[in-house]
Amino acid sequence: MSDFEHRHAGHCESGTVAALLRHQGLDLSEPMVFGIGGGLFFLHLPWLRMGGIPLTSYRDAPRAIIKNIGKRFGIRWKQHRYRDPASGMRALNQFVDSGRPVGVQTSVYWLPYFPVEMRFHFNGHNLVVYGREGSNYLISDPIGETVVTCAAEDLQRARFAKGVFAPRGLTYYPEGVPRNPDLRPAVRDAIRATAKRMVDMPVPMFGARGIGWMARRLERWPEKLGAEKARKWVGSIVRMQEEIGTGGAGFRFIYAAFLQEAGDLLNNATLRECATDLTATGDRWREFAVQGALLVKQRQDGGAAYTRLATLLRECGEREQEIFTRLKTAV
Amino acid sequence: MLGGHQRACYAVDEHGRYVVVGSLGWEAENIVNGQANDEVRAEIATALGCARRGEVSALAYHMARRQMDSGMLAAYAEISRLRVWWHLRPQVFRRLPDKVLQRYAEALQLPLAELRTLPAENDCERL
Repeated sequence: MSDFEHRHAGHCESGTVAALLRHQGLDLSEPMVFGIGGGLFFLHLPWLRMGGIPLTSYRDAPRAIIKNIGKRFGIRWKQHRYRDPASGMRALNQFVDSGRPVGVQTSVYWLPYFPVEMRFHFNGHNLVVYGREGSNYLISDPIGETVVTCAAEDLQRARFAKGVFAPRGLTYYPEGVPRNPDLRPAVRDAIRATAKRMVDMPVPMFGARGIGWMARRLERWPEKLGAEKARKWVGSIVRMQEEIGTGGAGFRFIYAAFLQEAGDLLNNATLRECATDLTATGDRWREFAVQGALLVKQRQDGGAAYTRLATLLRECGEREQEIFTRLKTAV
Repeated sequence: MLGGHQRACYAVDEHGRYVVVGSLGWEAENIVNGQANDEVRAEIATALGCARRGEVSALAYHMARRQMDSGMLAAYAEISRLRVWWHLRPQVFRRLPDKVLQRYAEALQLPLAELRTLPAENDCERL
């Protein structure tokens, strides 16, 4: 199996899904997969901590893109999990030997082709295994520029990592992929659903309101947590936004790319405008990242620095509230 | 920070169209990633110091080196959290049979002999 086409992607889940669909004859761009998969979101949950740091997410839950793409195109995902690592590897061998590339869920910590400084215990990484050579697997990791190989024991460890979101060997591939589906209803449905989730959530921690809600809490961090912990928490938000495979600005740019493509597809001027406005909002998010990083680097522990960050966040929240309200009725 | 690797980012070209561009990482990203890595190193250094002073067993150092907490180590070694917590005591850890140590060695991907020892240098690098 060497005819698998690798493409560099911004986000692992949309990249993996796009690659698997393309292999079966449905060639969609990564932003299209991300958008129809309803990937964009925002939430901040102070009670749900990972390593003592509250969960902040710029996207929907892991595997949401897989689920939504299936729903909107009538694709059936065959999904397998395994109790025993050895049988999980045997099953993987059968798939790739029969010429079927599969998506697998892994931990980035045990993948040796990742740079050491990027290896954290994060169990929600998706990649494609498309073949094997001797004891090495041929891998198309959407985050990478090119294909890579990975030794069997390393891949096994990554697939059977323990802890939060333990992958338990999850292996998946699509069945019944339509060749030339009409994208328009799927795009409309997806935009409406994402816009609703962004502005109509009845609780304040989610969607565009959640951004302002986080801003209010962030302002109080230096007095509540102390300087060091507050800096750590700010750093973690910026990391979630810029570092963890988001395509830039916490998925805002990739979603703007989707809106642009959707605007052309539906010949809809509002969508094109919203794409431009979301790009501008993404630039404000980037400014937030710059200011947040500066706060970390220069140890600006005064309340003024936090107020500045909160002001930027509120601006992002208000802009997104406005954009997604428009999007709700645009299609 | 990305070790020379590029990550794909979405950006607008001169015609206002979105394109994928390779990014070697930008400053804000490097700063916060550096902060997270410093954090890991600080935790390893703390664990190493405590282990040298005999406050905790060598297991605590090796656990920190793999960026694990006791809950995660318990899951990887398939040993109950309570027992892991117990094994973090130096007196207890010293008397552990090889059978138990072997499970920790596999969970942490270390040779069994190394598991009992601390590094000669103040090595705070992970992996």
